[in-house]
Amino acid sequence: MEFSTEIINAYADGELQGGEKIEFEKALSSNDELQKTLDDLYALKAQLQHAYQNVEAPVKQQESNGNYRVAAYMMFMLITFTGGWFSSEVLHNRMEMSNVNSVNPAMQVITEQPGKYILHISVNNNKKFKQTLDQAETLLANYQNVDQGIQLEIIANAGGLDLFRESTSPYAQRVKALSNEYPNIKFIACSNAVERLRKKGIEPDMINAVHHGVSAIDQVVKRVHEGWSYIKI
Amino acid sequence: MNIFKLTCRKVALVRRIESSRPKLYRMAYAWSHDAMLADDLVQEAQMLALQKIEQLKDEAAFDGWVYTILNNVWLGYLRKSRPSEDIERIVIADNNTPEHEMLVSQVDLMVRSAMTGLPNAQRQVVSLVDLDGLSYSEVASILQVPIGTVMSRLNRARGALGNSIKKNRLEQHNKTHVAFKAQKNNADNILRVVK
Repeated sequence: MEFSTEIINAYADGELQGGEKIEFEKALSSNDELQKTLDDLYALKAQLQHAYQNVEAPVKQQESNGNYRVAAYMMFMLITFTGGWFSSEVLHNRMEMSNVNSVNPAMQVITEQPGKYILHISVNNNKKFKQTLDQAETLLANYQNVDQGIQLEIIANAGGLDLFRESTSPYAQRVKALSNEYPNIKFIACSNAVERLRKKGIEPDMINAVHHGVSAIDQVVKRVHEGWSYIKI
Repeated sequence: MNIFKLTCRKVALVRRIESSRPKLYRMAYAWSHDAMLADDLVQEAQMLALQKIEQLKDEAAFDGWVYTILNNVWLGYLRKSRPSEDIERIVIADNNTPEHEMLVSQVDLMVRSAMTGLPNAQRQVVSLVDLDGLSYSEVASILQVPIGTVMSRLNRARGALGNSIKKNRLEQHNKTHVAFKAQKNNADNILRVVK
């Protein structure tokens, strides 16, 4: 009996069941050619697994510090979870605080603590770049007369990095102006994204006001751990 | 379910998202063959997973869920970086550096090189099935295609990989043979001079 290569694949991948499987195994015991095809398939699967088994994710800075990341993520989750119980109230307060019309509906608020915000941009999109800076200005303006003030970070990774590059940012002057005007705003470029550009032979040419040296995910987790509100643009 | 149980469940899920980094990275690398890009894709996927944690209702479906997120991030990257190309057919460059190549065996390099020559849709299917042992139905769900499509892509991918590896082996063998013959001729010439 002839079997299609799809059926032979399915057997090798453990996808054949019941009667089909029994029939296949029956043929296999008396068909050397079929056995050879199957052996070649197993060999190919093993070669593929072997070729990628030593591919390891780069070690993150914090991984050497015990369980920092796990603890931070747990805090992230707990704050998020707690936020869930009073999210509608918090969101309502936030909308009042920052003027309903100025808050972009596309932005996702994970958790909410007053006065400390981390805005995250990861796409190269001029409209989103503008939204990020608009949102930052709205927050800064709303907190200007509040005693405790505000601390704000804008972090960019992947395509979002272009917001902070002299040669690519349509808002380079605005970033510089914000940095000069407000000492409590910080611009951070993801170190992984910067490194990636360098590996491609591209000089990142960051705007002077921009800091780098930490990855986006580590910074977000750290800030959330410290009680900051995370807003993804 | 009481608050304590809900909290424990979410703590466990956050831990799973964090600990899924090595497998997500391996998959992202197999799809992109670019170490820095793979790291970015995984970082983005993990952040999205944390944001969407409430959407995961069935913990048994965790692997499929995180791979679906990774796939969406990867396809988003391809759409943006190569907007004029058909995503399913995109082949990739092998971004191995010479230092990197020294750390990987010739056979593994041959297999990886064959993978880069596959169209994206086939490379993704064969990676999900063979690197992580996912079932056809899981792969179909992650890539949002019918199971029949998974089977046919897998079939074409394995056929192409097998042929490419055989061809590379033959070329390698021929090169070694030519080098050996040249060496032998040199040795014979020297012997003749000495005699």
